[in-house]
Order: sequence, then structure tokens, then C-alpha cells
Amino acid sequence: MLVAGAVGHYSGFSPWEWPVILMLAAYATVGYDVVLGALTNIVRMRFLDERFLMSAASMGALLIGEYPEGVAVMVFYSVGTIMEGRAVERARASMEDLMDLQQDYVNIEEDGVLRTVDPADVSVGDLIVVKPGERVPLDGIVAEGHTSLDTRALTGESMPFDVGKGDAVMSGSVNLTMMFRLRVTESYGRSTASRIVELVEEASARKARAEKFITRFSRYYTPAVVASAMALAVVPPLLFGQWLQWTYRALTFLVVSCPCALAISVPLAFFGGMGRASRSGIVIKGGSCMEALSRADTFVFDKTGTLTKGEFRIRKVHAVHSDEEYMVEMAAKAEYYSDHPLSEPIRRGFAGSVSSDEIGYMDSVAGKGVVAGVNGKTVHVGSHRLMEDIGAEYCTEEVSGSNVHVAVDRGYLGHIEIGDAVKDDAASAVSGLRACGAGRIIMLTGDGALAGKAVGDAVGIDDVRSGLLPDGKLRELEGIMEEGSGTVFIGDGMNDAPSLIRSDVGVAMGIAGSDAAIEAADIVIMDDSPSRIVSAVRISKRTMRTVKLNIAFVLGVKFGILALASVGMAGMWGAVFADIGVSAIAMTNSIRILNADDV
Amino acid sequence: MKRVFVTKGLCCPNCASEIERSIARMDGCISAKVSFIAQRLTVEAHDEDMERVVLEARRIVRRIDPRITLTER
Repeated sequence: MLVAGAVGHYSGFSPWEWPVILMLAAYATVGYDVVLGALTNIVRMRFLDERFLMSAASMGALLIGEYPEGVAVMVFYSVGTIMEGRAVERARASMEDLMDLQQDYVNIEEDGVLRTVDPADVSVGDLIVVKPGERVPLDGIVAEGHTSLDTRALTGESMPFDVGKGDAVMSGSVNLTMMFRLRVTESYGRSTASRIVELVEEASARKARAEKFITRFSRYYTPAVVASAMALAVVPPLLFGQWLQWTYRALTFLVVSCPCALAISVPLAFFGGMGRASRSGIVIKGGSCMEALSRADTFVFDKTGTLTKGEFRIRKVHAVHSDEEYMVEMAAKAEYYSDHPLSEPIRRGFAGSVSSDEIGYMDSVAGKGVVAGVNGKTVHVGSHRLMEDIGAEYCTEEVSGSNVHVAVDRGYLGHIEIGDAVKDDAASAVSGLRACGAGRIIMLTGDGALAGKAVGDAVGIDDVRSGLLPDGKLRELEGIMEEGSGTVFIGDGMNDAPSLIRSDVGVAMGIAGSDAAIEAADIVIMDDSPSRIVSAVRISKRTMRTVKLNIAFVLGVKFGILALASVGMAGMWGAVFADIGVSAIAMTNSIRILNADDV
Repeated sequence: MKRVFVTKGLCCPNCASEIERSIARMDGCISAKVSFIAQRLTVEAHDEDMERVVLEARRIVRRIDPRITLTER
């Protein structure tokens, strides 16, 4: 096709008869499909489709004797279409690589023999076998064996990590070293891998304003250019004559009138940005979210589980009238049967073992703590109000965490400070956001002022709003939104869904988080690292830059060529460039984001 | 209820948006999304309208570009 076209084209500079025939042959080979498509469209009453425009322009050129131009339009159009297809295919293939998280079989051991079954047929509680090199098909807990897992596709984390018996494993991770047995905890449809694939597939549905603008624009652009082409072919020659020259200019218009360069390059850029984000373990649910994120100037963090680990542990033991070890031991034993959230870190903080024989009785005192008989002694563990009740003189020092007082036989021993640890990358997330232009960074928390301030100081946020009830958080957020031009809310929790919806951009942390939060969010960060939000912002800004550049470039060149063509300064060659060349350049620019390493 | 189709052979974003608009305009169709890049058509309709909507959607796709084949996911 190409060769024939080229031969026809090169020999075409002298208007002899044989090259003309050759060129027509070339035209027929490359243009056959296109013209046929155009004809079927005319039958269906659909004009203004790109094949129709190209056929009309090229045949017009042939009719007025501009053979090389006519053929060139068709050749370049065909080549351009192939290139377009390639670029889109490449973007799509790399996206599908990312989404290739699901393993389509599961190994099950029966009577010592491994056999494979459909993952959908496995139920929760079943035992499955994962061999080295395989993807983990379902979420579960390691029941036997140990191995290293690669979770890069899920979280963007490239360091393999080791798991052993009792550890939770997400589907979609790759088993690197050893065979192990897994107790399934989630069915196929609810497993991490399926949920991510679902998220990514739905992602492109939310179109950005730039995308909608382009779609609307191209709906009016083509008819407008075609109308002016017709006007150009008829009106000026009626006034000045020179029919052939004006027809040629009009045909040039037709070539430029194709809207495809714009219409592909813009969504392709968003697609590239989303693909790049998911390589870093971030799912962005569409162009509109990217647009909003790139423009946001206010970032509101929830504290617990987002900036902090959400795991409580003993931060400090203040032994006033006792030694630390004895105090923790008595507290842990008294809390042995308790299910209060603060009892767990105390039990974990005691290294020795506890036998149930040691505990005579245990009563909880609602809202205050517990009283228990431990080895014949009466132990009170709880808030200062419990100490007041028993008349123990307690230490009134204020601490940033939760404070648990301990008394044995009504004699005060001291207090234990329990707190949440700040995530390792929380501070770098905050400074990273400042570096990319975040105006205000605010932390919301239901905890007290002291606890809030401690975390705020540790991560570098000085605007801390503490003591908020769940609905108070939402009201606070609404107040914040009135002041900023775009507000991002980053949270993880069960009760954050309203804030995730209400904010301009809601970011949910952790694919293991609640369904409601993931559903409500615009952006989901796969693992629990708050610093990923910085990558998300950078990728969004970069994508928006590309989109704007592409729109400006494509429109600039097109209108430039139209202006030149109308006064006869640009020929069909320029028009072909303005269509296919520009399209190829814009698309190449768009998919560059996909492999960018500096975001 | 939502149904998702792979639109193999969908070759231009304009056709994609035209298909999207025509299907979405249909009676009983709650929403229709065509992603040119993902090559996906997602149709949302109430259960009782679904069959009719999908049938009509196939007809619309064929009219706009007969080279497109629809396969349900």
C-alpha cells in the first residue's frame, strides 16, 4: 500500500500520463477501505465522519488535477490512523498489564493430590495452595508455610515482604519463593484483586471538564469548518472567479476539519495519568477527579488511621508509687477479661504470661474502668474518675494519649499512657504537599486537643481541629470548603464516607478499608502510606499540563492552517500535517506520562 | 443494573461519543458510557428494561459503525 503510494507520489511531480495511472492505483489500494466506509456512511445518512471528509477532500483534489496532493492525503491519513491505533493500543496494553491481578485458577489439595478449580467455586474458610511464581488468587491468612510476596501491582511498593503463619495476604500479590497454604477469608468477588480491577474499570467513566469540552467542541467544530469550506468554494469565486483555486482551498479546509486529533489526545492523556497512578498504587476514578485534585489548595486529613497507624500501644509508664513492671503486670491481669479497646495494648505490653487461675473476678465500671481480684488483691484500672470513686490520690499530670490509672488495694501505683503511633511517612506527606503548592493543611480528629496537637507537631500540621464528633467533622469540613478553592479530604474510616463524598476530592486510604469509603472516594490509595497523596497530586498536575498543552497545540495549528489556507498560503500538505501530524504528536505527548519516573 | 460490553473495532472517539449519546437518549436507559480507550460500553437500566435497551443498543452500534462487535463481559 505504502510503497505503491510512495511510488505514485514521487513519480507524480511531472504530469505525465503513466504516473497518474500509478497514483490512481496507489489511491485505490490505500483509500479503498476509507472510501467504502464513507460510502456506507452516506447510505446511512451520516456525513461529517472523518472517512467521508478525507474521501471528499482527496477525490476533490484528484478531480481538479492535483494528483500528488490527493494521494498524499489518503496515504497519510491511512498511516496516521494506523499510528493512532498503535498509540491507543500501547496505552491500553500497559493498563491491562496493571489490571492483570486476577489469577484464574486455584490449587486445592485433595487426598494429597493438587488439582485446580475455578476461584469462584472456593468458599470462605477453604484451604488453598499457592505455589511460587503464582499470584495469590484470593484474600486469606497463611495457614502453613512462609514466603516472600511481591505486592507491587497492588500497592506500588517494590520491596518484597515476608509472611508466615497467621499473616494476612492480599490477592493479587505474587508468591516469590515458597509454596504455602492459605485459609481463604474473602470470596472471589470480594477479594482485593477483584475490587481493584473493578475500580480501575469504572475509573474512566468520570469525565473531566476538559474532556467534555473537547467532545462538545468537536461536535460543532467539524460542521462549522465544512460549512466554511463550502462557502469558500462558492462565494469568493462568484466575486472574483478563479474557481479551481478556491476549490483547492476549500478542500484543504475539509482535511483540517477532522476532530479526531483532539478527541483522542485528551482522554488518552487522562488515561495515561491514571495508568501511571495505578503503577504507584493509586486508583484515580477518572479525569474529573484528576482535574479537581490538580487545582485543590486545601488538604484535610483525618488523624486516626490516616496520619497515625490506628494501633494503640503503651507509650509511657508513669510509675509513681511502684516499679513499672509490677504495675503493668497487675494492670494486664486485671484487664485479662476486658474487651475495652484500651485493655488490649495493656495486655500486649506485659511480656509475661497470665493464667486464668490468678484472676478471681472482674467487673467493669461503666465508662470508668475495671475492678478485678488478682492473686487475692483488689486491682482498679481505669480513668481518674475511678480513682476518685475509691478515694485514691492520683497523679494529675496531663498526657497527650489516653491515660489509664492503676491502683492495688486502693493504693495508687501510677498511670499508663496509651497512644497511637504516627505513620513513618506522614511528615514527608505533609511537607511534600506543601512543596507542591498546598495552601492549607488541616487535621481533624475526634480526640482531645492534647492528643491532636501531639500528632500535629509530629507531622508538621499546625491547624488541628480536635474533639470533633463524626457529624462535627463534616460540619468542620464544610466550613473549610467555603474558604478554599478546592478541598481534598483524606480519610480511611468507616464513618468518613460523608466527608469523602462532600469534599471536592475524597481520598480513601487502604484497599482493605471499608467498602463504603472506597465507593465514596474519588481516589483510593492501595496501601496505607499518606505520602502517596503527593504522587497523586504530582501526576494530576502533570496530566493537566499535558492536556492543556495538547489542546492549545492542536487548536493553534488547526486554526493557523485554516487561516493560512483561506488566503492561499497553506496547501494540502500543511493540512495533512495539521490533521495527522498534530494528532500523532499530541498522542505521543499524552502517553509520555504513563512511563514518567519523576512524579 | 449495569451491563458491560467490550466494543471491539471501535476506532474513533467521535463514534464513541455518538454511540454514547444515542444510547443514553433511549427510553428506559439510565446511563450509557462508552470509553474509547478502554473499549468498553457500560449500559445501566432497570432490570425490566434491560433486555430491550441492550437490543436497541446493539442496533445503534451497528448503525453507527458496523465494524464494531459487541461482546458481553
